[in-house]
Amino acid sequence: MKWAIALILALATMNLVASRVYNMGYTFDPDFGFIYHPGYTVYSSIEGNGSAHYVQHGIRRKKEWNPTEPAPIIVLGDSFTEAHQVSDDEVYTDLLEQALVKSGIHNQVLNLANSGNSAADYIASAPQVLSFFKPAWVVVQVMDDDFTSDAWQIGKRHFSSDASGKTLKIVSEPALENSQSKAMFLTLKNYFPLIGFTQRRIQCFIAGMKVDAPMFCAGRANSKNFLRDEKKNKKYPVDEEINLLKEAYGGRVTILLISRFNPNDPLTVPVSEQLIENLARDKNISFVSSRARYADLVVKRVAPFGFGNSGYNTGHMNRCGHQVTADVLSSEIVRLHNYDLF
Amino acid sequence: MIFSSVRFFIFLAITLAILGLISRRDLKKRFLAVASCFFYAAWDWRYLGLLLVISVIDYFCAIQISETNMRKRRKAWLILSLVSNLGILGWFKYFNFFIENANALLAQFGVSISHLDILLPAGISFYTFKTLSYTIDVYRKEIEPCRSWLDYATFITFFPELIAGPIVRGSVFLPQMGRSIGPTKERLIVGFSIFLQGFTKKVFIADRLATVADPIFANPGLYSSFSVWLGVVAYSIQIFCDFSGYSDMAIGVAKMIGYDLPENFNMPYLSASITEFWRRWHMTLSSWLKDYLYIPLGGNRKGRARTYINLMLTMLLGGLWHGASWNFVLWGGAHGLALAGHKYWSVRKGGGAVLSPWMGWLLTQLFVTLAWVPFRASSFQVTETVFRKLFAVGGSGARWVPVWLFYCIPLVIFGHILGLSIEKARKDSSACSVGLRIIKKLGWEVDSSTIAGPYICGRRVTILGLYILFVWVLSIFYFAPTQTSPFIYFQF
Repeated sequence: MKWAIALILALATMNLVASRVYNMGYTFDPDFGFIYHPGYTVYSSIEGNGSAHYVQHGIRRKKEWNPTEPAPIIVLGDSFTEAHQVSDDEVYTDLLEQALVKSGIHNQVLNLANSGNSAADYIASAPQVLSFFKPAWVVVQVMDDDFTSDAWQIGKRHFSSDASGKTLKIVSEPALENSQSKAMFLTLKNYFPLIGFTQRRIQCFIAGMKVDAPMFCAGRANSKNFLRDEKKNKKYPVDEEINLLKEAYGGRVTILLISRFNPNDPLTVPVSEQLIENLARDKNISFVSSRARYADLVVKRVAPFGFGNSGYNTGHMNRCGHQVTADVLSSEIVRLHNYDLF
Repeated sequence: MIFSSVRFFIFLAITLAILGLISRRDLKKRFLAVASCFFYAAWDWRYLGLLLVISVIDYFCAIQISETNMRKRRKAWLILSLVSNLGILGWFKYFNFFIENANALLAQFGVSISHLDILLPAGISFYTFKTLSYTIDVYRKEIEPCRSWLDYATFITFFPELIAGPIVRGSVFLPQMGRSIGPTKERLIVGFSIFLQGFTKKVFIADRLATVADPIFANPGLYSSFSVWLGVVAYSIQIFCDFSGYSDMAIGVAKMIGYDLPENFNMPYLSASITEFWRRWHMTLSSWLKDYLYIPLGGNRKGRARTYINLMLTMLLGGLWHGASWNFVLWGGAHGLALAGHKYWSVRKGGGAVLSPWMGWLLTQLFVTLAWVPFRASSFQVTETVFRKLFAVGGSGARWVPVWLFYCIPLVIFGHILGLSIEKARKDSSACSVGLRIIKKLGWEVDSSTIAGPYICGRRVTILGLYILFVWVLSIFYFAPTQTSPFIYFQF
């Protein structure tokens, strides 16, 4: 009996802990799929230490979005823009809004980022975003892999080419669709985050086992390197993907590239990033890179990524990273505004 | 198979289940030997043959040594054992190192010898020392040779300590071969508790601190002096928790099976002198080096100068045992010098303490921490850069304050307070410290015959005691890294 009582108490404790570290709070929105429900706050303490407040339609924002105010600036992105590692007033979208107000631009900045998104998601969601928010401008945050490996990853929404290999199409996985059983399970997981956390941990353990050294021949093969090399050698049609992105938003889009940071050589641009920049400029797409302010970070002896509880220059953006990103982005948005583009 | 991996848990569960199902004693031992071979082959099956060849050679040599009284013949069999063991170790572990150094010398003559493309067999340093001690003990007539190759193979291949120790001597393990092995309720409870403590040290402290130490040692020039200091301190705690965690896990698994392994660590970071440190750190290695190297060299019986030389030689070879690199020699040499220096001052003080306990502790820990730099650094250049940074020679660098260090230090302090409570109980069974009182209140037990911490006692345990255990186990499931990281001592 005492074993059962102790076990139930321990599980209740872990459920409480899970609610702080593993965030559920999902709801199904017919326009935007699974989003955090309005009023939900996501806490993060494993990497960084932040709290992210969500308002309507899965927007990360301190205050509710007011549709009657001037058309908003929409920011789409992945976990780097979702930025659960920092608080609401430290995320670059909030800093951008403040900087724009100082420049006399009063458009609200709406952060619609979702962890795991890639260029395929930004293109696919364009019709809903444009019709629903009628944005003044759209910012799409990318990393160098958002047009390559991440955008072609099966298991989530991804690019695919037809049989001839020439025409690009976007494939949505069934996971994005709603169903009654899925909705019920989601409700259960919202009440007991430990269920979702357990599910996630089991998936992680299975994934962890897959990258372990192979049995009986660990000395001969290194599966991790093998996989990495295979990915590296694959060619992706980045040119066509950028075309699709431009078309999807009618050219009213800024590509914000979050650059990798090398403290020993902050200004040298890696080939993969250079490719995106060159293509964007060739196609007359507004483009900014956080690298533009990296030299300042070297002087300050800080990196844009990493936290005290993760690692120096690893993982997601810290406060400094968000600040430099907001700086470069606000300069670009002000420039676009000055050209009367919105 | 790393002890903290899912594969190992599956392997352990199957092994224990089958051992529990088999009723015949000899069959249990046979199965254990087969399971151990499987464990070793799971890393790379090609080196299993090497392990078995070594076990056959030493088994045979030991029997030949015991069957003759002719000194020369006994010595010849011993030399055969030593040459074969050290030859295999030298070939796999040191051959490329010697070639590298020879090439550096021969470069001016335009001569270059090509490297051998060989892989270091896992655990070779540990099982070589184990087999060496066995034949030497038989030669010294300290133990009788094992008459059953099956028993001997079970001893040599015993999987919990095969890869990274503790270095178990035949005199400790072979007398246990008569036991009926297999899991019992008591063995599982005590073994699991010890395993859990080791697992916690590994995944919650060592692996976390690796994320602090690894990037700093990978690129020390990048960081500020303060960050490098934090990295060095982090490594100092990491290596202790990694290795002592592994040792606890090995001892725990052996206990679940039914064997007792010697303790390997006894709170070394409480040592007030370097001599005490080596009595508490990697105890099975330090006692091996003392019994089979330092004493045969003459120990302290041949005058003061020879004592210091013997100490230096022992530690230099001890350093080289860890790895084929001059960095390890430097680490061993530094410890040798420190031991010789401590011995010198102790003799001058008439055998008394050289410094006050607190000052002694502070200096010892400072020395030990700094000595880990060459041990961890990948090259002499990295060692030099780290030392330059530590003593602020070489300008500025990135400021990174890793907070894990400040979470882990209180955990380590808590562990040491608990350890001191248990040590007190071992020395004086009537003693009852605060730590012990808390443990008793929870209904847990402390095995005063070992250094191991508390374990759950089925009958008296309270709901709070069980609750803590469940939260502990669940925390590991939910927060331990899902990708296994190898133990530091696996590379030796």
